[in-house]
Amino acid sequence: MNPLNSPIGYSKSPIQYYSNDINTSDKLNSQGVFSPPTKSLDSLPIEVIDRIFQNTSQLDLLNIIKLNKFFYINYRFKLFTNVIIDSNYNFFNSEQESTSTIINNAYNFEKFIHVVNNVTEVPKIESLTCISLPDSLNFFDHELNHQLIEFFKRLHTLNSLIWLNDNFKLEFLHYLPNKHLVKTLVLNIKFNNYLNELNEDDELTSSFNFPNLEIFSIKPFTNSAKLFKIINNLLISDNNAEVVSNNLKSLSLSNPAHSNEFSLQQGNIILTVFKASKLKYLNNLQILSLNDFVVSSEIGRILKKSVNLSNLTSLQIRGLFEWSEDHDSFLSIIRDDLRNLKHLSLDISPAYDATYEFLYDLKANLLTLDLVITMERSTPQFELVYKPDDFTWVIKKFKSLEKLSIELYNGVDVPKQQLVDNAPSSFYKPLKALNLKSLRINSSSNYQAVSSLIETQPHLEFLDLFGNNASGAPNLGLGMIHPNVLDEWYKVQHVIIYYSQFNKNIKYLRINGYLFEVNYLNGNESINPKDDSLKRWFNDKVMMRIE
Amino acid sequence: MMSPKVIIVSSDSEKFPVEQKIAEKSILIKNMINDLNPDGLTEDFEIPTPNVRANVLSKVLEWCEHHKNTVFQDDEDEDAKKSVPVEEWDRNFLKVDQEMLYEIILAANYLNIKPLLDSGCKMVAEMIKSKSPEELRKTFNIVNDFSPEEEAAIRKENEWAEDR
Repeated sequence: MNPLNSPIGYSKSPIQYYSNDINTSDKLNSQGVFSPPTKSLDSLPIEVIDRIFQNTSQLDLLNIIKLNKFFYINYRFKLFTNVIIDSNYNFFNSEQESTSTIINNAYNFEKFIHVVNNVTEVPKIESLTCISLPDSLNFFDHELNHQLIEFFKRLHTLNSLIWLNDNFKLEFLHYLPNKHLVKTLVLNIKFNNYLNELNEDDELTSSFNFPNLEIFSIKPFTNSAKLFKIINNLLISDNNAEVVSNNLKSLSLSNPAHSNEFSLQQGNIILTVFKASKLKYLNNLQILSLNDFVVSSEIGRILKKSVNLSNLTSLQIRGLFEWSEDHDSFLSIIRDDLRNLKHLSLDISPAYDATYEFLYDLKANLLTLDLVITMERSTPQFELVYKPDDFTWVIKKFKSLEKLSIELYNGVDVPKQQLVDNAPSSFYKPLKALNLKSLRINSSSNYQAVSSLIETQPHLEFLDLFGNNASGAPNLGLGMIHPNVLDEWYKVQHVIIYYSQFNKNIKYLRINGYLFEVNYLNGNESINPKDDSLKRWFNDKVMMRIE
Repeated sequence: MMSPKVIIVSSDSEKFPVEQKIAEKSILIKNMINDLNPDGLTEDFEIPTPNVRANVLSKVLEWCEHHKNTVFQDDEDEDAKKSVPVEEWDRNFLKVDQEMLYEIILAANYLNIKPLLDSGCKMVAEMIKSKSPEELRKTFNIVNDFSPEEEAAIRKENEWAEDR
C-alpha cells in the first residue's frame, strides 16, 4: 500500500496506541542503558512511592492503578485528592501538565459526581477547583442539582473550594460537612444574585460557619448591603471575629458587574467591610485585592487603620475610581506602609498622576508590576503633567522586577479609551535597565524601539505585544476569502519571527492574542501556533491575577 | 590546623572522610553531629550508615560535594517545588541504572537529604510518564495479579478520569 495514501488514523492505518513500547525498552536493556530491573517498584518504602507519585499526572496514575492490587489499593483514591474542572483544558498541552485530576467534559463530570455519590468508601477530596464548567451542563436541571447537593454532603475532607464559574449556589455550602477544615473559599456568587439567596433572615446563611478560613474571595457582591451580609454571615458567622480576622491571609473582593458605573454610593463599600461589618484588624493579611470600588484619601485612611499593610506581599487594586476631596490620594496614604510588597497590580483610571507619584515614592523590592495607565486629559489641548516616558523612568528603579505588564491608554478626550500605539523610543528605553522574565507592553509603530528593548533582556521568556500596530499593516487580505482560525495566525507569524530573532531566550510570544511557541532545534528556529486553551496559562505568565 | 572531618562509614565498612559542611547536607548526619557535639566538632567524628553500601554512599557524597553551596528552597512551598523540573546536573548525575537510582533514593530517604530524594523521585516519575500498564510492568518488574474481570472493573470505575 502506498504509505502516502494512508493518513494516520485512517481505517487501514489505525493509530497504534503506546506504539513505541515494549521492544524499545528491551533494546535499552540490551544496550545497558537500564540494567534489567531486579528490584520491583512496589518494594520501595511506601513514603518513597508516595513521593514519586506526587509528580505523576492523572493519566499516568490511571495506568499505575492498573498495574496490580498493591497499587490499586494504595493509590486508587489519589485521583480524587485534587480535582480541577476546566472545560478549556487540553491534555495535549504539555505547558499545562498538572498533578491534579482534570475534568474537561460533561460526561466525565457527571460520571465523577456519580462515582463519589455511590461508592461505599467515600474518596478523600481535598481540593475542588471549578474554573469553567462544560457548556452542556444545565444547572437548572433538578436531577443535577440534587446530585450536586449529595456530592457536597460527601466532601468530608475538603480544605479548598474554588468556584470561578458563574453558577455556584450558596446552598451547596450549607450541605458541606466539616467546614472547620476549609481554609480556602473562593466563590463566584453571580448566580446567587439572581436566586436571591443571602436574603435577610435567610435560614441558609445562618448555617455557614467556616472558622479557619485563610483565603477568602467573593465576586460579584452587587451592593454594600449584600457585602455586609457576606462578611458577617459567611466569613465570620458565629465565630470569634478577632480570631477569624487574624487567620485571614488573603482577601479579594470584586464587583465587576458595576465596573462602568460611577457611583459615590460605592465608596461605602470599604466602609462596609472595614467599619460596619464585624471584621477586625487584619494583622496577618498578605494578599489584598480590591476591585471596582470608588476610593478616596479617606478610604485610604480607613484601610491603613484596618489592615497591617506592612505585611502585604501582593496588592491588586483594579478598576477603581478616585474621588478625593483633599490633596492626598488614596494611594499616597497607604504607600509608606507597603514596604514588603512583592507583587503589585494597579488600575485606577482617572488617577494616572497619583499612580505616577505613588510609584515614584514606593520603596519596595517588587518582583511583579502590572499597570494599566490612562493618560487622562480633560480637553485635547490640556498639557499632560506626566508623559508615558515618565512612567517607564520611574519603573526603572524597581531593579528586582521579573514580570512587567503595562497597558497604556489615551484618556477620555476620545469617546472611549484607546490603546496608545505610537509610543516613542523614549518610552521603551528606560526599561532596558531591567532584567525581565516576562514583558507585556503596548506595541508601537516605532517597532525598532520595541525590538531594541527585547534585545537587552537576556532572561526574557514570555513576551506579549498588543495594539493596532502590533501585527503590522492589515495586509495580504488573509482571512477575507476563506476566514478560518489559521488565517489569524498567518497574519501575525511574520511578526513573531521578526521579534524572536532579537532574543533567542524567548519561549512564548503573543501578538494581539495569538500565541506562539518558539523553539530552537540545532540552531534552526521554529514557531508553533498554540490554541486558546493556553490563554489562562499564558496570562498568568505575563500578568498578575488574584482570584 | 586542619578542621576535623566527618568520617562516614558504609555498610561494607568503607570509610569516607568529608568536610562537615558536605556531610551536613544530610539532615540525619547534621542532627547527629549537633546532638553529640553540642560545642562543635573538635576531632574527627565517625558516623556509621548501616543501610548504605560504599558505591551508593560515594555517589551520594558526590552529590553533596557538588551542592555544598547550593541553597535549596524551604519545604513550605510544596506546590511550587512540584512543578520545578530536575536541574540539568542532577539529571545527568542520576542517569544510572534503575537499581542504582533506587539505592540512591533509599539512601537519600534514610540520610534525610530532601533535594536529592526529590530529584530521584522525579526521575522515576519521568520513567513512568506516558507508559502503558504493560510497559510499566516490564520497566519496573511488577507482576500483574488481577484477573481479566478485575481489570475490566477497574477500567470502568475510573472511566471518569480518562481523557476523551
